[in-house]
Amino acid sequence: MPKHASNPVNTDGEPLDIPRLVNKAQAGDEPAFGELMQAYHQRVYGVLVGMVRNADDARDLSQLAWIKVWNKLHTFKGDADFYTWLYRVTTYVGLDFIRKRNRKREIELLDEMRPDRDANAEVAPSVMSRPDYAAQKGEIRDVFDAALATLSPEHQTTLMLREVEGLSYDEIAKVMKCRRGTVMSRIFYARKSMQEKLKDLR
Amino acid sequence: MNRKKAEQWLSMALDGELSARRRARLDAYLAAHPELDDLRNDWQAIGDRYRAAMPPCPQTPEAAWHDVRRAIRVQGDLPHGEIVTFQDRMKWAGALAAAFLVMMGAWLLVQSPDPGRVGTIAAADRTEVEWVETDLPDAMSMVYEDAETGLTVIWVLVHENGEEDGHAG
Repeated sequence: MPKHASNPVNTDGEPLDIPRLVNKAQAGDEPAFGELMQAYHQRVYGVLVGMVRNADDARDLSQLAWIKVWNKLHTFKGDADFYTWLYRVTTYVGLDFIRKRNRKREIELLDEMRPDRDANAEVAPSVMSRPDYAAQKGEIRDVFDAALATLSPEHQTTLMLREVEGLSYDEIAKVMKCRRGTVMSRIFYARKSMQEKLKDLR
Repeated sequence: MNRKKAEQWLSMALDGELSARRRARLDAYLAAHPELDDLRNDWQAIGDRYRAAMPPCPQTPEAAWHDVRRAIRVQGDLPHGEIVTFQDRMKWAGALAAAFLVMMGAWLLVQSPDPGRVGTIAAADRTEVEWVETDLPDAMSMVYEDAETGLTVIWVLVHENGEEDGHAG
């Protein structure tokens, strides 16, 4: 079962007073921000590793996301749950990274297609990320990741927020600033696409 | 209900997002179309694989907070609350070096057209330029003696709005 975005607890297992910590952090209270960060650290990392599928990148992006949260905390008005706002900042960091990475891969792919390129040259990462190549290697994790990589960043992120983070359609719509119907459509399309690419794994 | 609608509702039902009334209609359709069981199983397996493929966080929350706290303190020490990168520092040093070279080049050009001033140019080559400390923020100054006039020139380089400006006195 997916995780659910319930209130985090402290080391004694008691629920944290998130609004109080947010207020204090907005006033520049570093220890309060530290408590918030430690409470949500795993979730932010989980969202990012689910999006970028690389532990090292996710760790770096996680740090970047928290610095952005600190810098933008004054813009949080308290009209939504803090974790919804936090997920929004985090997914923007992840989406930005994925878009840049995809652009880099497109350039690499165009480079591979150049007629003057050596046909015996080493297989580029963009080719290795294709499901058929991963299937040849026979590693389920690679096949799954390669299938995920064929989805758009928005479809991938929406599916991850549902399947891994366990957010409802309404919560995902708030995080991604889109309509509930769009969330439903993206999840449906992502499942159909993944099923098609993973049918050989049954 | 057609197949496509049934698949859309099945996806919503897996997420607990289908109303009870629609759920009843979907269940009736699924009972008549058992081939959709494979679809449901495949979609559930995708969710299971996604969750199983999540690596644990390599950093403890305390270690992560240590890194983030250090980063926000570094940026807090800066005038505009921005993170200073190595490139930012190099921009400043590069701009300063470029301004110095342009200034020296211009000064030599002004001196060079008159052949009778060869002695002056030779004197200029020997001119000693001294960088001195200044209390002005974001500014650097240098002092040298003008060979032609014999005056001591003080150049102050100030950094204003991302651009350098030089003032002689």
